[in-house]
Amino acid sequence: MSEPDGSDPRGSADQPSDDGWADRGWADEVTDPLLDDSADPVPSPLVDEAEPAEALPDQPTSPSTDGPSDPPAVADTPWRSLHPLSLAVNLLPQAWRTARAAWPLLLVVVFGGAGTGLEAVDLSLLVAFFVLTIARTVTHFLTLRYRVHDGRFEVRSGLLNRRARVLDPARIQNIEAVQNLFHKAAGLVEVRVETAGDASTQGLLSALGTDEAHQLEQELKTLVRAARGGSSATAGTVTGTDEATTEDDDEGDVLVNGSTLEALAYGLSRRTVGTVAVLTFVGFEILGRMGPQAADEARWIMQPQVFVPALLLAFAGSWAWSAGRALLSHWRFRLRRRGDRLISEEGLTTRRRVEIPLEKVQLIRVDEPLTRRLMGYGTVLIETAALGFADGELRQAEGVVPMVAQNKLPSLVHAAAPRISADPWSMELRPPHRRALHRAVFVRTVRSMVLAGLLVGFMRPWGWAALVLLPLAPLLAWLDWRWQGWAITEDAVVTRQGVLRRATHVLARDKIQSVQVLQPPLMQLHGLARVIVRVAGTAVALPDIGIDQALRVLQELSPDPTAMPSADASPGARDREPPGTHQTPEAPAVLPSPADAGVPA
Amino acid sequence: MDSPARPPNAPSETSPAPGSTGCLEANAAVPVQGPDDPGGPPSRLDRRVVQLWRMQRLLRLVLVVGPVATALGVGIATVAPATVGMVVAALLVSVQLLLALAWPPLEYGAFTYALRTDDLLVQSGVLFKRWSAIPFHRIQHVDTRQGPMERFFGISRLLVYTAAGVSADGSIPGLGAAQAERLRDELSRRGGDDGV
Repeated sequence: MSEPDGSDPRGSADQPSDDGWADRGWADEVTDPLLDDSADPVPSPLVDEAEPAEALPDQPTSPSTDGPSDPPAVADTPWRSLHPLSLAVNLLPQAWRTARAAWPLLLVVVFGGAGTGLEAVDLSLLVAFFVLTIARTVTHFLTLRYRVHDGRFEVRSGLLNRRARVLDPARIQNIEAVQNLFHKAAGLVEVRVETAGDASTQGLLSALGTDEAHQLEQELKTLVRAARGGSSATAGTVTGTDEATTEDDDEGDVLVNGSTLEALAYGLSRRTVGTVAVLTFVGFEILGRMGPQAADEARWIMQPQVFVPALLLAFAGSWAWSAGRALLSHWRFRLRRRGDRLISEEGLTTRRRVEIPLEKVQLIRVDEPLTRRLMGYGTVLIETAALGFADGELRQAEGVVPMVAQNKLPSLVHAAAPRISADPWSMELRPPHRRALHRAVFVRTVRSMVLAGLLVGFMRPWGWAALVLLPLAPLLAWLDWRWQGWAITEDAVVTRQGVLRRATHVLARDKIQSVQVLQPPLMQLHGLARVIVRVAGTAVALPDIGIDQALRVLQELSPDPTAMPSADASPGARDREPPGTHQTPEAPAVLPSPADAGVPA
Repeated sequence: MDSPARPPNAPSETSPAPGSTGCLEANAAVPVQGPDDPGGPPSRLDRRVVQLWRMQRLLRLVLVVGPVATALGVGIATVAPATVGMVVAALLVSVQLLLALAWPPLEYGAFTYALRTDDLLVQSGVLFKRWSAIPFHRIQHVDTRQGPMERFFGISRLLVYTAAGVSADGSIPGLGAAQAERLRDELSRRGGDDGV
């Protein structure tokens, strides 16, 4: 693969004339014995495992000897690599994650009926998954390099699929420090540096020694501050340490201090139907694979006196499971605000600390599911651009405040988004359009009819109980509609949706990336439309409103609200909105004024 | 914008005229052109894009719909008389053919875009209407793209990226290559990301 003169043909082909790549140390790779794949594409484990031993005394400088191709001019910062113990620390969690992901396969292997002959295939698949995971973990550990160079943060990794990322510190959304049990035992920590639009930094910098991690964080923060024109700091040096110590002493204002009971309550109020459904399905699968005599047993299980307690047990089990997990994740939760940053810490076995600069906060979502609302609590999610669409089960959202007392919600929202003066709980929200109710009732009724039909069809005689869903649907739709609301103030867009699971969104208008109005065919029939406001990383949909109003909102949220129209010219529509306060006397000549359109005021 | 005081869920507006579609010409609620907007009236796509879309749909018909319809027909023929299967397959294919010929002009007519004072407004969609307003200062970067078929017709696609991603936020599918370049340069000039 490498030419005799040491240049990498692949590298030169890909980056023909870009000297920037040479500066960033691509040239280093060629002479780096760890990455030299001239022998064979898949490195033999023996050869590679010998290398880290040499690397140990060289921490944190690059283990490779710099070849003749030293980049010119800019003093080259050495690349740092992961802590040698990371491999051990990463293998177990990765193996566990693989096992968790491949659970259907595991079940099949363990419970599979005898003599089908396919078990060898299943087993080999399982083994293959594990081997792949281990290979990936090992490769990642061996090839990952990072450094702070020339004002930027650079990371590269990978052997067959090489990845290099160069990050402008101004783009950093949050910096997380995560420590699970293994990390703690080894004295390591995983650092996640997250940017807009990329939530895949999990496991990238796992793991670093605590000193190194601290140093990296300080360097990045220094750069961030310098990029914002704050304190004068030279990139890459560690003058930040002095600031750091004084900062660490300053605790900041504690906004939320979670108790154990609250963590437990949070876990108990999580949705568990999904888990139960999965467990039930798995149970049926297992039953299905047993021999013929088990069919009789299955019939025995379907009897009410056995089935109902079993179901209740399943529910209780999943609740307990959920409560346990919540307790582990949100143990000793603490949210504080230090200067211009929000810092949250939580976790028992895995301690997570997330730092979010206030100016990176895109959107604040407050979830108040029925159970939590009854307890007098809500959950606040502080979203930055680094947040993808996080499923609560798989990946916890950044800046989640699991339990906040309801009377504290307004002040917390204000603390997290100081620019916003709106208080969604005390302000008047505008309702959705009346026709939206018709549409919602229709959709929900159809959905529950389908569900009930399925249940009746497949689970008799139990399924008939599902008919109780039918009258519930319009009722829920009405309640939902009644509690929806939206508002646009000078600095914020606020929406509220849902009755069973109430969700309130607050976003600052100066974070809006774009606004869309959508009108699918059915909504066209009703004259409705949906407004979607996008911020970096996520989007918020307003409740369904009339198309004219939606277009007015589109206009209102544009950067130049002085161009706001006065009235809609279509016949039959009455202008219910008083002219906006932004409207200048000299309205654009393009638009009809209310008088011209002959529209009654 | 303060909301007038009113009981929580009284209807806030009369029902709009049913079927009001709010298309760009008929609805003046969205001023497409402010008084000092450059660039003239709202713009349409390049006419050649109609042919391009027709071609793409016909290709899809041949490569995808045809085999699927055949498979479906054969499948039905196993449980019902063969003629039923044939009729179904023929129906599927002919409907797709009709759409391939008749739909692109409708889509073309429904697509307009305008460079306003502070943002780009794109309106599109026949059945699924959509309006997108992207402020210039939110534009991170602008790409032009040309697939092989687009190159054949001399058409480019313009993609506007904001920090919220690309897909829904302003993709102008059928501009003449030169026009696309000009628009891209213009947007890049006016854009400029002010961070996230």
